Amino acid sequence: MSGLTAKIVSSWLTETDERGLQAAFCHWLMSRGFRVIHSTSHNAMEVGKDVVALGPDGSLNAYQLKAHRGTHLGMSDFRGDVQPQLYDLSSAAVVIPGIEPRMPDHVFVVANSDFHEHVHREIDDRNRASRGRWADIQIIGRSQLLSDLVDLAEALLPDDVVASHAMLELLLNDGRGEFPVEKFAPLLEILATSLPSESGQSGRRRLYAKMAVVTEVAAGPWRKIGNHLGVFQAYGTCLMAASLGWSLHGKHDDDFESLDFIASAASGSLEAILNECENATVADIAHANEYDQIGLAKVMHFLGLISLCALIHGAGKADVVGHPYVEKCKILIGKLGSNRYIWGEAAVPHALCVGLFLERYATGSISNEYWTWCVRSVVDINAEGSIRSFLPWDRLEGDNARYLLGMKKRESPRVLDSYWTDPVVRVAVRLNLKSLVKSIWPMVVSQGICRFVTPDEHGMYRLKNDSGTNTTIHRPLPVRWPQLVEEAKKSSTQDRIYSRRPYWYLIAVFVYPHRVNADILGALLPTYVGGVWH
Amino acid sequence: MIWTYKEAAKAVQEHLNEKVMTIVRQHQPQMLAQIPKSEVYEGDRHGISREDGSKDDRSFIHASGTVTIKSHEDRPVSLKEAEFAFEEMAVSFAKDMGVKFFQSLDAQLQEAGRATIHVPLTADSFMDMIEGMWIEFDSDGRPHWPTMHGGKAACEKMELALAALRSSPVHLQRMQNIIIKKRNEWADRQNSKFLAD
Repeated sequence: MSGLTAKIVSSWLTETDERGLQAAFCHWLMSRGFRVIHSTSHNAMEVGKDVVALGPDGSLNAYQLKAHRGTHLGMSDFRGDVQPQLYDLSSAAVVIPGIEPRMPDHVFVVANSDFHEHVHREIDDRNRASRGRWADIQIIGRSQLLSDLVDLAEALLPDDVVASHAMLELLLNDGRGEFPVEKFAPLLEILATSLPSESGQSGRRRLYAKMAVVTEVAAGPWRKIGNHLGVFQAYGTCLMAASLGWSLHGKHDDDFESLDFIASAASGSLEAILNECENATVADIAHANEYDQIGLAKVMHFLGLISLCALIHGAGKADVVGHPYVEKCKILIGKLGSNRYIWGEAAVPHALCVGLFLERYATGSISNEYWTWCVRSVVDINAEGSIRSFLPWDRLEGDNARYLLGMKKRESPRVLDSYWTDPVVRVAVRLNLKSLVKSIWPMVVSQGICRFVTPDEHGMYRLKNDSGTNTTIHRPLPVRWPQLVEEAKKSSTQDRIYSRRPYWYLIAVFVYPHRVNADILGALLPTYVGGVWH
Repeated sequence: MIWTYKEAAKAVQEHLNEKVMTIVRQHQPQMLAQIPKSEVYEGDRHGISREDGSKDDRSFIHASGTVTIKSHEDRPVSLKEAEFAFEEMAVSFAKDMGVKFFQSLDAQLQEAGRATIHVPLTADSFMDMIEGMWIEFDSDGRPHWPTMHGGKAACEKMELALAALRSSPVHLQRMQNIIIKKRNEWADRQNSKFLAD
């Protein structure tokens, strides 16, 4: 174990906030054989316990987490922040769908710092007073967590010098921009493809826990300054790598529990964005000097992220229309939705999610009007002479931003092929937008349909594959509308992850937009928007 | 604002990249420079499925360049020396690209049966070539003639063939018929781009 790893994890543990501590703590529990059955999303529906887990012996354990800046949690912090929550923690039954309501067998206060001696005494007094009625409150402090977390984070600095350098760069980042997915994904892929240290489920759980802890530590600079987008991108990358691991290590259904927690950490960041920005105006999203393509692109990104959040939370719920995230999202789209712009193919997933949200929850012709704009815009990205012809792996930075603003001209022409036109047109066909598709069809067939055929089934969860075929398909012409409808209806996917967790595919294309596949998107579309299909 | 080391290193890297790209563009064959580029992110092959149903699948051809920078015992390497080494690499890289491009083009033409080797360049052989080509037209029906590339001797022969074509009414009539045929093919292609009910 590298001493540097221990120092990095120690420093992260000191500086992390409650969400960061919670994400790592849940995976720490899972790596020890616990089954986490509740992890709070810090909203109005809290059940009085941050985390609830079933122990390997079947015991019910409740945890209250406290992120504290400093090495020791003293009496004033304990009395101010922790004590008011102890009553709920120990004296209220655990009421969680799926398990019989009952009192917890063990309750814990967990902190990223050690507890001051006086706090120990205070808790001891309380336990004595309530003994026989409620379970004793136990504490898990920094010292206990740190050694285990350092062990889980052993992969933080791999043997590969280049990979270690990339990780150190991540850790030294100021966390202000987007999360550098290109640097992080290869590190996690090394971990995902390594053999679990133990055989069986416990070994695999430990592997996923390692990936999550490494992600949490790597995302530390973004978490520290409240850059939720960066944290979402980090966990989105982790989810892709965990999917790779799942695909490589036997595809066990019971591993979904670990993967679900990684996905919930990603969606938790989206919730944080939505909660923080529920009253946002255009000026809050884009800076005053960005009322141009860049500013509009930022608003589009924001709307895409909150739409994804609302779609995930609305999924499978009967009373979805009344879900607070759905309502917040509706208000924000109503307020900011006219500021829309798709700057390149990497922005299409954002626009797509807004469309899916409107299709599912909006009334009247709003969604049709939106899809008309969206599909046209996507087709226009790769039209002759377009300044937006950016491929899905291009980022809105550096020269790309200069091209977009007309400050720089491209040196050589690019073949106008597209990764996203075909999937988006397929959505329009399923929505029966025939007149729209007819009007843009000459432009659609002028563009080649790009798709990357991975060398094996795991390839689609990797950021980059060294081998594999880049395919460009030009449709045999002419094409008839019924033919397109038939194609759209036949969309299917054999992917066992996305068939079981459809919304993970939307997270996947947010972080890896070049992994879009018209068949998978078409097959999952009914799940996203429900309703009657063409 | 003062640059951090990271920003300064990035700026130097971008400067050298830009320099290399400019030199590569200057030294690569003109024909290669005019071809629209496909950007590739991953993989090792490119497969194309065309409108006419034909398919093509090829692995990538790698071109590379090596930068050698001589170190000094008494002083660090200057930026100018580094730049010079990169310039040398860019020139040899562009040449390597050009050679590999023509080798690949040659192999593909041979494979497709489109190579005309040891055929005298006459007005008729020129029109034979045009007949086998895909020609686009603008909205006014004017053809987009292909750009022709060749060495000095080939260009001289081509000029003679074109002069012969222009001076003979029989050749002009044949050329006219080819244009009409190509325009009809183009019009059919355009019509087929509309989505039928």
